[in-house]
Amino acid sequence: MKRKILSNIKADLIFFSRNGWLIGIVAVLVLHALLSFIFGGLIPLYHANRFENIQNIVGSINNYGFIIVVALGIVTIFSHSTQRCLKMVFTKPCLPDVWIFSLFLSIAIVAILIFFLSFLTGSLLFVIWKVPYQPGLIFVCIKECCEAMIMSFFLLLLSLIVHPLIAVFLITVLNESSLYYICLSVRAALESTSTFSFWHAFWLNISKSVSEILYRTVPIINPYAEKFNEVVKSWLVLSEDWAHLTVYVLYTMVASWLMAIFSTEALKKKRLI
Amino acid sequence: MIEAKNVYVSYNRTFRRRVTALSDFNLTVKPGDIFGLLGPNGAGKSTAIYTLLGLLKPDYGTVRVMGEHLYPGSSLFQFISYLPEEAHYHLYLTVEEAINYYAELYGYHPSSKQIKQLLETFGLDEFRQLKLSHCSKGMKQKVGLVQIFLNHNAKIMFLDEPTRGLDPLTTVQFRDMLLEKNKNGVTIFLNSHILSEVEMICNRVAIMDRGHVIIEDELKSLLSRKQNQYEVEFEPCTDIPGYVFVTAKTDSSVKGLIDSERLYDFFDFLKQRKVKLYICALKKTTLEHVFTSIVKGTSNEKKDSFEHQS
Repeated sequence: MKRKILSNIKADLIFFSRNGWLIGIVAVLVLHALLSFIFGGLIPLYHANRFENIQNIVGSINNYGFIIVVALGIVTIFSHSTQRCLKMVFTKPCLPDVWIFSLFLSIAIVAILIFFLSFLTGSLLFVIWKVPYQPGLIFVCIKECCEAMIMSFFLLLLSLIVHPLIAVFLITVLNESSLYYICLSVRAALESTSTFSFWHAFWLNISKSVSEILYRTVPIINPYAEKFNEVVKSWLVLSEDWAHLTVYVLYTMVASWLMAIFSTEALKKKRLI
Repeated sequence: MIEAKNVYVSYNRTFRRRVTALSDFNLTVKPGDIFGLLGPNGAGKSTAIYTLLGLLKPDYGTVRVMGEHLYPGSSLFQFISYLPEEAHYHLYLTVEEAINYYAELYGYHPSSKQIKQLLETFGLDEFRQLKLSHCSKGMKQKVGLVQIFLNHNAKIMFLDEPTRGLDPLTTVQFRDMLLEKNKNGVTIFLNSHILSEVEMICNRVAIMDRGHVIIEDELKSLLSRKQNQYEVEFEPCTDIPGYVFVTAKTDSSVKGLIDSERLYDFFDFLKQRKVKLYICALKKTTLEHVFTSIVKGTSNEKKDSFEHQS
């Protein structure tokens, strides 16, 4: 089992490094970073606050990392479905559970590596520019890593249920912030007046129930949003923030485990031929 | 070893009606058989293999391989090798990486020497660092063959069009390796369009059309069923009897086919007319003749019954 997981992880990591889509995404991001650095970053880099510069650079790396990590799962599913090569895996003594678990681990490894790189870059800049070290750096990197992993795994799960392209469109609706605003809007509509026709009220109530169920079902990408945003802005971390982050890391692990189970079930129902 | 009873498989085509791929599909493969599954395009041969391998779930019916029901990733796959019809391999891997990966999924950790030896056997050694996406069709097929021979525990081999895209030398070599494996007790389930190949190595065959098996028998008895014609060559003469189906006529001889029950009538005719008989031999029936007559016969029967119903 351990050997098979390692073999699958090795194959996944090779796939990540060779896939045209992923290489394309990385190339575009590198180009964007270079252009931003040349046209928008050089001047503030010399004049602005060094601490802010570190925040901006780490923030940019984290944003790029987020996009790459989110793309990993969906591109893997898309490519393996198109190439129909999964039947070569499942006609060997390797269960879909093992393959999915390996894929989740591979994505987690890449995510951890990218955000560790971001952390290293920030730390190095603290040393080079002689800026007092802020623990917010590690906090932000861990938080962003968890966000990226949850988003990637959720998109991976959706792409196993529907076509990957439809999954991308679905994720724009099936995320906590969109669903939160939908819930608020429906609730407000219901409370605004009591002169609805029967069918109007019926559909609004259905919409309310569905949106609330979905809101409670979809994984939370950004919990403790207000508190975490404060830390992201200032990089000042209070002890209670660490406690919240610990809870978020634990939540990420539990949510990932659940999404791995659901993904396995979705994969078993998928036509593998 | 392999058993399918009253299997029905259907699936939805995107935006199209439901398609029945297998209907009342029955099959039995005994241990040690080299079993050939034949049929025209769209007969359901590949679907049958997918169903036997557990990649497709039947709507009805039972499928047993080595007494158990197969499902994706089942531990029973350590005794099964499978070669797909199309090169649906991990195209982003190099030849060597793919072989290593598939071997590791079987639970083997072949040394580089062992892999080199297998790659050399199929003439792939110099391409070991080439990505599968850059390999030719034949090379990909060879990679598929290497991965089936990697599994030393294999008791059954499912081969879907195994010689597709292979050069004649590799085809012969592969056939020998297959026969060698069979001698060592490996059951082979072969799905092929190349009837001469099936005739050469299979001991049992099944012919299927439109999702179900029309006939399943020993190859020998299947071939002997149609051995009721004689090929004759005789001196040209006038008034050749109607039961002689003339296939060629020259100034020096006439060639023809005669049903066995009319052979003595033909001898009497030759005796009366004092015509010389040059050759008289039992016509060797090939699998191609059997296949063509059975498949054509079935489609004609279906056509007739459809016309009768309408």
